[in-house]
Amino acid sequence: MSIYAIGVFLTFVLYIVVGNYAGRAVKDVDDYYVSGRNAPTVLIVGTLVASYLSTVAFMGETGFSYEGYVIPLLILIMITFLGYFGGAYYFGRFIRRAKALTIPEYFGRRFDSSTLQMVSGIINVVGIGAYLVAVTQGSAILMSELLGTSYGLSLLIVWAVYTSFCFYSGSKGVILTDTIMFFFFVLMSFIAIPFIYKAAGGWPQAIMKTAVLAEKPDILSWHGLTGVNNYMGTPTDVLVWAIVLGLVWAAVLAVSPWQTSRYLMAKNEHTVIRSAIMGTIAIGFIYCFLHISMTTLNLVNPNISPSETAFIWSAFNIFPTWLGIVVLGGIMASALSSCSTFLSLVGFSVSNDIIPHLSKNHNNKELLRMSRMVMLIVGLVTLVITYFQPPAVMWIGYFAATLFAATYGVVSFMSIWSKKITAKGALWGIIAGFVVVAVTEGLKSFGGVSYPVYFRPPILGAVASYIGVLIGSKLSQPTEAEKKYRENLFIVPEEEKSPVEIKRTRLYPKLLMISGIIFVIGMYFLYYHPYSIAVLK
Amino acid sequence: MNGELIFTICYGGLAFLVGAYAHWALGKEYKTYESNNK
Repeated sequence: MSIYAIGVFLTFVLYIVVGNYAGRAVKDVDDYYVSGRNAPTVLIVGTLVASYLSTVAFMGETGFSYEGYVIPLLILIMITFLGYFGGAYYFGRFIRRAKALTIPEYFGRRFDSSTLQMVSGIINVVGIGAYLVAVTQGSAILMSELLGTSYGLSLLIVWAVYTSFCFYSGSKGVILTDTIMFFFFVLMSFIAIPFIYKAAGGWPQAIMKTAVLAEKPDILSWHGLTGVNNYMGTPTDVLVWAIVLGLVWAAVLAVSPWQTSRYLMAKNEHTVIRSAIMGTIAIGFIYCFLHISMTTLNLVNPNISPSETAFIWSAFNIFPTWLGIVVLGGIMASALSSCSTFLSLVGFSVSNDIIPHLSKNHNNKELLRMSRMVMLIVGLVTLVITYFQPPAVMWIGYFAATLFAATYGVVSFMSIWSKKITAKGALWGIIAGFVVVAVTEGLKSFGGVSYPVYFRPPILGAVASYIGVLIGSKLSQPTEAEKKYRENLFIVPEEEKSPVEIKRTRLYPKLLMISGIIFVIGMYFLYYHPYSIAVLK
Repeated sequence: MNGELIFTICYGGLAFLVGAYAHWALGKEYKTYESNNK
């Protein structure tokens, strides 16, 4: 077994030990589903970002930057800055106030409809389940490259690690391990950057040489590589792509269950707001500094194929061994953190939303035991599906992520801000969004149908969802129970009005503003200044 | 001004604006708590 594999295995042991230790504190279903609703900001930030970033970020997107599309990717990320605060302020804190165990349960209670809860639960299981399969496959492929073991054995190892603590400790273990994993990959990202520059000839020479790289002209220009044989045709196409996809991903950050469900565990609503702002800052820093450096890898080796392995290639070939272990452990952490969150959400939806009679006529202890059993069964089903489903990491992951932007986006915000939306409207909106995204994505993947960038499946799904809400709400009236529930959501709990908490929360927007200034200054000296000198020469 | 410089300013600029909006929105809301308490 190589030193890299031993290092990664040690991180696995850490997660299993910490995750299971956290499980000892699980006394009831509130602890299991929402970590007792007492998680502080650091844990919510950790689990928010760790659930969002997976191998897609540290393999797919670092490869995308290496290939020559770093600035388009960063434009997309820049637009997603709108998602965290927008989602937390206009939706997240209200669902925290609703004190539901799951997002489908919130929908069910808000619209006084067990059908809506069940439909939303089924969509959670299908969509997040698909995402779980994709991310687990990605982790198993990475694991088999690391160990040289078969795909099946690697899959079993990865699955056993996250399932072992997820089923026993539920959210209590998941948010703790997520936070450790979050710090792990943030640390990895920032330690790796100087080593990448050093291997590429040192900064700022590395940026200057990359800017005028003969094989990839425009690699550092604002639009990246364009024209025939490239991902996009013209700079305008690139800009529209980045803005449209940025908005879609902002919606994913704002309403996807693997992000908003984190707010259900927050200690209070101040924690929700603070975590969302810190999440924006973390994403902003990780992307702008790591991804710019990834382009300079072209000076060391312009032929890394597939490009998704560029960061892994660096771990084996240009980083010192200790850093290689940290990077591989960090990439694996990003994958495992998403897997554990997704498994927990699928398990919770099965036991709480799809088979609601499970929660009736049982005491808390029995319910906890049954929830754990369901989680284990869901985990085993996932293992079987993942083993037999051919790997399709990127498209399934992308489909599942954006599915929720379309399916839940409109209904989530309207459930808070519209007096007219009814249970029927919400149900039709969710089903219309889901069906349109599933059909149009299916036609794209299996029928070769292509869409203009303005009318990608998530956009079409969001429009269909809105039309579904409008028609469904026109054909019915909100009931008294729905009106009352919505009104209660606007009653601010007294504990949220504490001057001490308010004073502290008001510091966070200032931190984001300061980070914005640091991004401009950092980006100017790190990227623009050397780039402009090289290009003007 | 070229596209690269615009991007350089916008990346941090948008983060700054989101922070400024959050500052304004939260400030406005928290003020109503204070006035209700008086």
